Amino acid sequence: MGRRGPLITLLVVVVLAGILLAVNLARSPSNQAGSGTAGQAGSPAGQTGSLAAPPAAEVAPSAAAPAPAVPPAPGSTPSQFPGQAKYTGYTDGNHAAIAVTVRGGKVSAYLCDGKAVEGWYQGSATGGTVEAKGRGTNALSGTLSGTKLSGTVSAGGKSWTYSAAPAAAPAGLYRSKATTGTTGWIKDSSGKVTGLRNAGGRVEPAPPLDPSTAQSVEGGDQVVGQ
Amino acid sequence: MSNPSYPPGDSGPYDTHHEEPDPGPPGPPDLSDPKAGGILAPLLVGCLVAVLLGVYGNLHEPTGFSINLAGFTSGAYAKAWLATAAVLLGVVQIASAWVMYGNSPTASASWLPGLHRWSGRIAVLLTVPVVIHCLFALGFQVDSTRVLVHSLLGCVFYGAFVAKMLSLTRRGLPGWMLPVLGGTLFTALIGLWLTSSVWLFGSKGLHF
Repeated sequence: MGRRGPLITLLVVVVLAGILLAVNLARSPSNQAGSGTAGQAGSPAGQTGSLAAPPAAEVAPSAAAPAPAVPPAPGSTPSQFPGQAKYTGYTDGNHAAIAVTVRGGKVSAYLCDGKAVEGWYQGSATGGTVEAKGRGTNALSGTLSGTKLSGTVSAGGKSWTYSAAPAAAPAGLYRSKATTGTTGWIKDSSGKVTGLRNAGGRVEPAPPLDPSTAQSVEGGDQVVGQ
Repeated sequence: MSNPSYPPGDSGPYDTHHEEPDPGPPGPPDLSDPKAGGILAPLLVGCLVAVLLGVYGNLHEPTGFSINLAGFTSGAYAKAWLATAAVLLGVVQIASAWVMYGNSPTASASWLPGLHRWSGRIAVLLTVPVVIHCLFALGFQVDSTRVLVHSLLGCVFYGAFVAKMLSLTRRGLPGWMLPVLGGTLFTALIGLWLTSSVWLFGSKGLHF
């Protein structure tokens, strides 16, 4: 061992980091279709067709231009959702917070302005687009461009455009269902929480988010109707 | 640093140094001194690693996801527990170094250097999946003081690690160098842990 021990340690660390990074790259959304390691259940449908999807980093600069509710320009390849992902963001003008969770091609989402407007949505993710419906005419649609999700969302007869970015726990969507009502919280990547409680149609301020009682919502969880 | 000389009989990572006399009080490296290269090279490489990690974290478009480990409720909890295990091993590092440097009333046992080496190796290996998730899924962020401090400390940690591993292979380093690098590593690790695992356990509850 002697003097080479520390160098071997260093080498092992670099090799392990390299392996993990390579596995991550192979499984990143845009490469997943062409990767043999993407065998996990829950890969969204419709991924297998697009081997030509460019790496996310190359798509990213064009993601700055939000194209809500407009299909991607002809010739551009839409980005693909990973098997499991969540996105948090705000409607344009910061009217309300939005959280969209995707798991295995299923979508659960929540819109909440923290004051009066809120809505739960459920639907599906196909390729790089999400379509979800809520109570009544409430609806949500979105398109993934690079890693950013943008689109339109409606609640209570009003409609907004939004953009959302990938988020990792503890950011995300939380829900608590009790006899006092159903409460939803959106925690954004900076830790800011927006929430409301809906007690049988009456909307009231949400209690503070308590992670030990609130359920973390992932795509596919039942959030609309019972 | 009351006792900068190496303990006799130490066959640990410090074994390349025993024949060196007490290097005397630390001073600024003298560039004309051949030993200065031995001090500076590992430090410069360490600084380079720290800066490169920060640049990569800043340039790489965060994906928001990364591969997860089975058995934990989320990637964040897997990271928090890996980091907690690394901190426990870090405490073993400090304690074993403390005894090896002759600060303990009892003599240094022959197995201590081995314990020091292997606890350190395992600790650093445990942090690798954590940092890859940080870099790949989240990137270098400045959104809040906690996140900024965490990002900076992450870069410092691996810079100090590289500097320490490279220093261990060199002879004739001043006695303060390894303790300073080791101390930097431990301090950065504790800071990283406080700004991530402890924060997560405090805000989302202590569970797996």
